[in-house]
Amino acid sequence: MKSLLARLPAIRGPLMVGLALTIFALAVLLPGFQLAGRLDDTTAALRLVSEQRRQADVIAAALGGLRDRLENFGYVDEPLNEVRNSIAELDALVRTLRTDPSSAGRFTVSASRPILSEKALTTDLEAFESTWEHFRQGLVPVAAFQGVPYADSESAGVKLNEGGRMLSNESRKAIANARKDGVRMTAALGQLAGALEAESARLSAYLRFLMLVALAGTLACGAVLGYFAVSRRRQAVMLADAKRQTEGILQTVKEGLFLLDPQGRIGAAHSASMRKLFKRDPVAGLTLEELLRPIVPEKSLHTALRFVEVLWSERTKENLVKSINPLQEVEVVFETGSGGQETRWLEFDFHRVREDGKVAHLLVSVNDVTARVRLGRELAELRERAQSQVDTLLGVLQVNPEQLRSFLADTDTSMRMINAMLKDPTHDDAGLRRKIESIFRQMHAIKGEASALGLTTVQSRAHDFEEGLKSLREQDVIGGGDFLPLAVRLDDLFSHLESLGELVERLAQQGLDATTADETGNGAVARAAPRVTEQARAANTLIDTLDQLVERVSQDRGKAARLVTHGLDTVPEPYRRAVKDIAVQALRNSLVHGIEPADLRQIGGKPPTGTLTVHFKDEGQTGFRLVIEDDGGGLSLRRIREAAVERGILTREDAARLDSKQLLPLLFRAGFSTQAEADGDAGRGVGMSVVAEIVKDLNGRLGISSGEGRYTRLSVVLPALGTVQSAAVA
Amino acid sequence: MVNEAEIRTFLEGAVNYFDVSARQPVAVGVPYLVTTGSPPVHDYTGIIAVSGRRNGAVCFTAPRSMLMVLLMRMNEPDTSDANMRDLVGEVANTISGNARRDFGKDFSISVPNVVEASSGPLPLPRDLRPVVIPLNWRSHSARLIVCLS
Repeated sequence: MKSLLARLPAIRGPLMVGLALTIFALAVLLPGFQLAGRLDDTTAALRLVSEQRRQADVIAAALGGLRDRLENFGYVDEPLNEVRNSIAELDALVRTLRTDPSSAGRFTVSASRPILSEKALTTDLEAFESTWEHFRQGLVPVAAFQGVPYADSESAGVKLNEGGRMLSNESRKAIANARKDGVRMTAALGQLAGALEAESARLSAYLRFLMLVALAGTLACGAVLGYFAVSRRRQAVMLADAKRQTEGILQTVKEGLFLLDPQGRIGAAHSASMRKLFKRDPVAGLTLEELLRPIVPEKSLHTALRFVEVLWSERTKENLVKSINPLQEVEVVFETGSGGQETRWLEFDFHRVREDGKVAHLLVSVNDVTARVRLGRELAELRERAQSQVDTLLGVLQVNPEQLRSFLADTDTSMRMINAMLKDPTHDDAGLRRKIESIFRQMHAIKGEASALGLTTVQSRAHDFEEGLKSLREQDVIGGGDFLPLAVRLDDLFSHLESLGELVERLAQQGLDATTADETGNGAVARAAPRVTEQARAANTLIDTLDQLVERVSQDRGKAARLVTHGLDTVPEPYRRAVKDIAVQALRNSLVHGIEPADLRQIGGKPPTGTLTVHFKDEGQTGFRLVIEDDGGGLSLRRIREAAVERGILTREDAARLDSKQLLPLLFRAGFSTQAEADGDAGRGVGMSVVAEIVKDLNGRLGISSGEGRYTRLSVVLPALGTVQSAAVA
Repeated sequence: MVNEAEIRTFLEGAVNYFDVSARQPVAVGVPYLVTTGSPPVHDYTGIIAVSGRRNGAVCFTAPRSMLMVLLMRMNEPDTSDANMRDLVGEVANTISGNARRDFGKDFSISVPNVVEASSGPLPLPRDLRPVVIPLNWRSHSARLIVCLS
């Protein structure tokens, strides 16, 4: 009962009142019921007593009549019967008063209790019985007479017979008794009637009192019930008001709000925006699974259901669970009427609703965060693009416009060559691997020049492209589809170079290029005055490119180096690209592998700043000689041997057996590098192979020499013009 | 810019078609870019227009000789032009179905439109470099052209 009341707080008050009313009714009505019964008995007894009060007179009259008839020899049965009846009635009165006066048995509550059991009444009744008994003894011989009291003879006529004489005697005695006992009996009956009246008045007063108490109690209960009714009414009004407010909120709020019951079903009360958010109606009664299944992928649905399952668990902490909510940004897809699809993002938040300390419901709020997600993505893209543009702009502003234009034109050509290589039909694995190496060399040259110019955005893209090539090269089996990432990256590089070209043109229109170049202290622009010849301007551009390369790579490597050039203004136009590519690769190699850090140089007795020399010379019929030399540590045959063994090119025994003339050509082999890890400047074993490839394409010759601890010298001999295949330098 | 994963989805559609319908796999060639002009097309080309997150088109182009062999392999005796057009449309439809399944969210993909080589250059956005993926099947070669911004 206690728990029932606790669960039903709204009806607890009325129930208590009802219970009190019942107890009160029982307490009042049961005694009242008994009292009413006793009162009825008392009334019945009084009525009986009152009826018998004249029996003494009746008996006296009957006895008188009997005497008169005996004297006149009349018929005596009638007075005798009256006497007998009176005796019977008075006996009956005694019996009744001793037991239950209500012979009809109306008051069963008092049936077992004689009405005159009260002490006062008992005394009066005993007085009456005593009087009556005495009176009765005198009447019994009269009433007992049977037969005819007369004798008729012709001789004597009618006379009293013996019985008649006895009857006459007895009747005379009875008449004499009746004078005394009749009066006493009538008085006793009067006394008894008075006592009964008093008892009846007492019971009536008691009953009235009970009725008054009952009335007061009823009024009190009525008042309490009235109070509860008013309270209920007030609560009903408040509830209706609260319901109206809740409905107002649910109709207005943009969030989807609903309750999930332990069976995972959505409650009937939910915000109207649920229909809009989930594009279905009704949603009440659906499970979360039924709500989400049509609009989210299976994986997201599974995750969502698992998460909700965890929320129901009492053992998990709500804040901890909410911190790992996987439904903070759920992508949902709705079919549109036209066959299309609409994607939106919803944010779900869950709160436990507790009753009696236990999780009874989950309150779920759903927000449409599509605008926020899209804005966030746009902002991220914009930020990335802006950063890229800033990087590009900074890179461009530091480069001589002539160098940049030259770079863009050369790179465009290289990329078209790479695309042509991709397009060239190749079906076998060996052909695909050759394709990879060719593309590698082209891309490495682009990266080298971009590095020389400090165009980091181009350099990083070229580096990524090389990474793709490297992973492709390491595959056991290569298919055409494996080249797809390269095509995509090539497209990206094309796009980037286009935007770079547009930027250069816009800067040129704004007149920023020359100014910026001056501000960077690049004297090349000053030298590239309109009056100088095309060849001199090209030479200056090349020298600027190489200067920047040396400056940037030496800084990156924490080394000090300077560039000395000779004769670059004599490089004929067909060899400019080749000389530039060879010089870029060779100088990068020298800076990475040759030139030592300043402290080591000083220990070795060298000036702290290393010197790199690029010497180009027209040797007439012999052709052109390009010599690139550094005063660094020279080539380490030991490291070349180790690298050859590590890369599986030579066995350890073969490597130990080969001399320098046999080992040095390994440097021009594709994929050979003495650097363990590749970075933006070296390590892929591509740079020198690019040099070798270029020289080979031009039908030139290549040589390398080194003095350990002193120098490394790369010599390239290019044939005289006229003997060069034009296609090779295109 | 084209996205590798998206291209792969279109490519898978084409590859699956040959695996399932022709019961003979297709060899994917080395993809390349079309840097100038229109991509080269074969006799019949099925074009799927794409809009939404990306804009442009995806095309499957195949020579008549290949389509004829393909029809025969599929036990289809009718090798009429109409049937060849239908076949190209069916391949394109498989490609678009695959795309809808994988990333249909923000993509609106049209019903394939089949054109003949004589119709002229493909109606592709001019400022993009289409990616061409050769699809070599037996001695024939078709192409998948992806041109999306």
